[in-house]
Amino acid sequence: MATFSMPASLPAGLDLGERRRRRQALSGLVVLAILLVLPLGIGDVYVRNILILTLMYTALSQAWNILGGYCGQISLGHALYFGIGAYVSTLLFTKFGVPPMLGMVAAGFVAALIALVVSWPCFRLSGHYYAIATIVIAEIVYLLFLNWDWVGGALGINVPFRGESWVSFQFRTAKLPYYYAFLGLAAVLWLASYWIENSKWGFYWRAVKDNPIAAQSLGVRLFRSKMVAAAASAFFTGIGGSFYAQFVAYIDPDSMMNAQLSILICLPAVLGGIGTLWGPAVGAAVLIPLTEVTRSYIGGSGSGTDLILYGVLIMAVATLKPEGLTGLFRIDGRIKPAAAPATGPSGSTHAA
Amino acid sequence: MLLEVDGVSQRFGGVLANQDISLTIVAGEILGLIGPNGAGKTTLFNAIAGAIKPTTGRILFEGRDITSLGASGCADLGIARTFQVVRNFETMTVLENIMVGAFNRTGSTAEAKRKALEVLDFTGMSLRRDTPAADLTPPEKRRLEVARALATGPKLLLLDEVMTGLTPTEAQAGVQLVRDIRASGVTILMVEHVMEVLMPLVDRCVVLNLGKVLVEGKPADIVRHPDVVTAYLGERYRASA
Amino acid sequence: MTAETLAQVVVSGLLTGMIYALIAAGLSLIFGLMDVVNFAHGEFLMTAMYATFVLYITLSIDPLFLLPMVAVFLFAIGVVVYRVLIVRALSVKVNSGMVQIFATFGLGIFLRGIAQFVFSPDFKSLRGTMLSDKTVSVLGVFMPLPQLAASLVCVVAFIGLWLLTTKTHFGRALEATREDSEAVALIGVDRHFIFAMGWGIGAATVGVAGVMLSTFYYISPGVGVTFALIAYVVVALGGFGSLPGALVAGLAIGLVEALTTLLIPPSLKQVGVFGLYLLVLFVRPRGLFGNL
Repeated sequence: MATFSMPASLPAGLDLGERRRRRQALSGLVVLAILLVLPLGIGDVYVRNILILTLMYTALSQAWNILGGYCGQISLGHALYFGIGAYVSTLLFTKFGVPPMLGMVAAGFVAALIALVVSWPCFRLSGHYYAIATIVIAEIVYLLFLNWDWVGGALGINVPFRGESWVSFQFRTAKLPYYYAFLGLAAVLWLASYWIENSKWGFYWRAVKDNPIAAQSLGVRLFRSKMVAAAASAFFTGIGGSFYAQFVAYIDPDSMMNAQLSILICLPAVLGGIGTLWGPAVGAAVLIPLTEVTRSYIGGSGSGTDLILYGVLIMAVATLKPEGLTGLFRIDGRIKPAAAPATGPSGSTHAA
Repeated sequence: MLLEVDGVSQRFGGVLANQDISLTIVAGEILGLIGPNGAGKTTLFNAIAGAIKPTTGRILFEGRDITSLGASGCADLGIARTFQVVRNFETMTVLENIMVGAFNRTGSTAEAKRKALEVLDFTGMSLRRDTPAADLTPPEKRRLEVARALATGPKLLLLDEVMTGLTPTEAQAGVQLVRDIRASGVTILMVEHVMEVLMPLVDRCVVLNLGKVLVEGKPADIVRHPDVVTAYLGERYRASA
Repeated sequence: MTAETLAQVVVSGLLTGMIYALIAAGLSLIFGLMDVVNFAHGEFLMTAMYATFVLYITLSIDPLFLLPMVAVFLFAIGVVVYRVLIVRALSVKVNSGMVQIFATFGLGIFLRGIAQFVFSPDFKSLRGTMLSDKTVSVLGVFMPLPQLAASLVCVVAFIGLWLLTTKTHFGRALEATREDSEAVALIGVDRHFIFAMGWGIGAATVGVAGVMLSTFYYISPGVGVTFALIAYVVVALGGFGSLPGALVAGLAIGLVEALTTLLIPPSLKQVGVFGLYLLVLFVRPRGLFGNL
C-alpha cells in the first residue's frame, strides 16, 4: 500500500454521517415522546383534526420522499396510489367483509403493483418526461374510477359502520385512536427513511439522483433501483389511503384521487427539504395548519387562496432555497464543515 | 491476458470512430492509449467500459464476452472507470461517494464504510473525508473519481485523461498514485494526452489515429516511430524523427 | 352511420386538432430550445382566455381583434416568467432538473389560484361575439364559425411560427442556441435573450390559441389543466421539440378524440386520447419525430 506522511490532523472519531445519525435518532425520540402525549392535553376537536391531518401528510410525504427525494424521480400524480389504497381496502371491506386492518396491507401491495406497472415504461424516460407521465396516468385512472360502476363511480362508497375496533379500524365516539394510528404510520415511515439513509438502497438511490451515469459505472442498476423506490413509495402511500378511507368513512374519486392531493403529498417534502429525513415532517407541520387556518379565515376552499399559497411556496422554495426549510435552519444536520485548512492541491502529501 | 479487444468497429451515423481495432491488455500492466484528437480513444474507452456497444467486433474480459454487457455489468465483473468530465455525487461527502463504489462488493453499510475508509486512506484523501464533493478542488475531484472507482474492487481500472491540467506537483502525486494502484494488483488502462507524464509511467503504449491502431509497443520505441510523429505533428516533422 | 356523419366527425376532429396542435407547439418550442417543460403551459392558455374575457367585457371589442393585444400580453408574461423564475431555477447547481419542474409546477398552481380568487370557479363564456352562433356549411358538412375561425387562425399562426423558426435570422439563432447554448456566445448571440424570446413566443403562441378558444369554449380556472393534459399527449406523440410533430400529432389526437365519440359516450371521449398516450409510452416513448 502507499506510504504517506501523516497529515496535520486526521479527522478522528465519528464521521459526519455518524454524528448526524446520532442527532437524528435523538431528535426522533424526543419528537415521538412529545407527539405521544400531545393529544392528551388538547381537547379541541378542530385542533385534533389538524394534528391528524398533519400526521397523515407527514406520512404520505415521507413515502413520496422515498421516490422523489432520495431517488430523484418526481411524481406529480401520487394521489393515484393513495386513492388505489383507499379503494382496495374499502372494496375488500364492503364487498368481501375483509377487516380493514388486513385490507390495508393488501391495499399497499396493490398500490405497489400498480406502481411497478406504471413505472415500467416511464422509467425509460428522463426526469420531466416521467413527471408528465405521472400526471397523465393519474388522470387516466381518476377518469376510469369515475366511470366504473363496480367501484361506485362518481357516487363513491360509504364505509359502513360495523362497530368500534382496531381490527375494523373504526372509531365513532373518539377520534383519538386515529391520531395514534396516523402517528404510528408517520413513525414507521420516519424509521424507514432513517434506515434508508444508511443503507445500500439509500446510497444507490442518491447516486441515481445525483449522477445516473456515474452510478451505472459503479454497478448500480438504474432501472431496478427506480422500480424498487417506486414500489416502496406506493406501498406506504396506499396504506395511508386506507387509513384515510376509514377515517372519513366515505370515498369517491374526487376526494381520494384528485390532483390537489398530489400537490399536498409532495409539497411538504419540497417545502421542508427534498431528500432529507426531517424535511417532510417539518414541511407538513408548517403547511397543513397554515392551509387549514387560511381556509377558515380567508374564504372557503373555492376561493383559490390555498392554491395561491401552495404555488407561492413551491416557487419560492424552488428558486430561492431548494434545500427547503431544514436547509434554512440546518435542522437535518447536514452541516457544511468549516472551511478546511489550506492543504496541498491534492489534499494530501504523498512520498514521491 | 486480462482483456481482449477483437476487431471492434464503432459507427456513429456516417462517422466511423473506431475501425477494426484489436488489442490486448495483460494482467498487471499499465497500458497507455494515446493518439491525436479525434483518433477514437474515448470511443474505444467507452466500449471497453461497457458504456457503448460496438457496431462490430467483440470484447473479452478474462475470456468472457462482455461486448453487450453494459456499464453496470462490467463493473460487477471488475472493470472500473473514471470520467473525463468528473462525475462526482455532488450532494454526498467524499466518504459517501467512495462508499457507493464500495457497495458494489457488499450489501452491508459497515463493510462498505470500512472498505471506503481503506480506499480513502490509500488515495490520501483522509483529510477530506467529510467534505461535500461539491466543495473539492478540481484535482481533488479527480482523485475522488479514482478512489470511488477503486472502491468497487476492480481488476481493471480505466483512467480517462486523469493527468490533464495538473501542476507538476499534482502530476507527480498522480503518477505515484497510479503506481501504487498497480502495486496493489490492479491492471490499468490510461487514455492520456500529457506525454511527459504518461511515457515514464506505462509499460506499453497503443497509438490510435483516425480510428485505427497505428502502432503499439514500448514507450521509447513509440516516441521515435515516424508514423507516430507524423500523426501528431504532421509530415514536416517526419524527417527529423 | 352515414358517410355524412363520418365526414362531420372527421372535420370536427381536424378543426379541434389544429387548435391542439398550436397549443402543443408553444410547449414544444420552449422544450426544444432549452430542455425545460413548462408545467404552467395550461395556465398560460387560461390566462389568455381570461384576458380575452376581461377585455371583451370592458372594451366590447370582438375577440378576433383582441388577438394582437392578448398575444403581446402573453408574450410579456413569457419573458417575465423566464427572467424572474426560470433563470433562477436554471442557476441552481445541484439537482437543477428537479427545481425546474417545481418552479413551473408552482407557477401553474399559483396562476390557477389567482384566477379562482379573482373570477371564482364558475364557468364563464363569451356571448354575442361576431362569429358566435353562426354555422358554415361546406359540401354538406356543418362547421360552427367560431371553431372554423379558430382553426384557421391556428393554421396561420403555425405557418408564422414555422417561417419564424426556419427562415429568419432569429430562427437560425434559435436553432443555434438549441444546439449549443454556450457556444453561441462566440458568435455574438446572447443566449439569455434567445431564451427569453423563446418563452415569449411560446407563451404568445398558446395565447393566440386561448383567444380563439374563448370564443366557443367555457372559461374556468381548471381549463388549463384540461388542455395541458392534451398538450402533453400531443407532444409525447409528436416528439418533444418538434414543430412538425406537434402539427401531425395535434391533428391526429383531434381526430382520434372525435372518432372515439362514435364508439363511446362523449363523457368518455378522452379514452381514445389517453389510450393513444399509453400506446406511445409503451411502444415508442420518443414519439414520431422526436429524439429522447
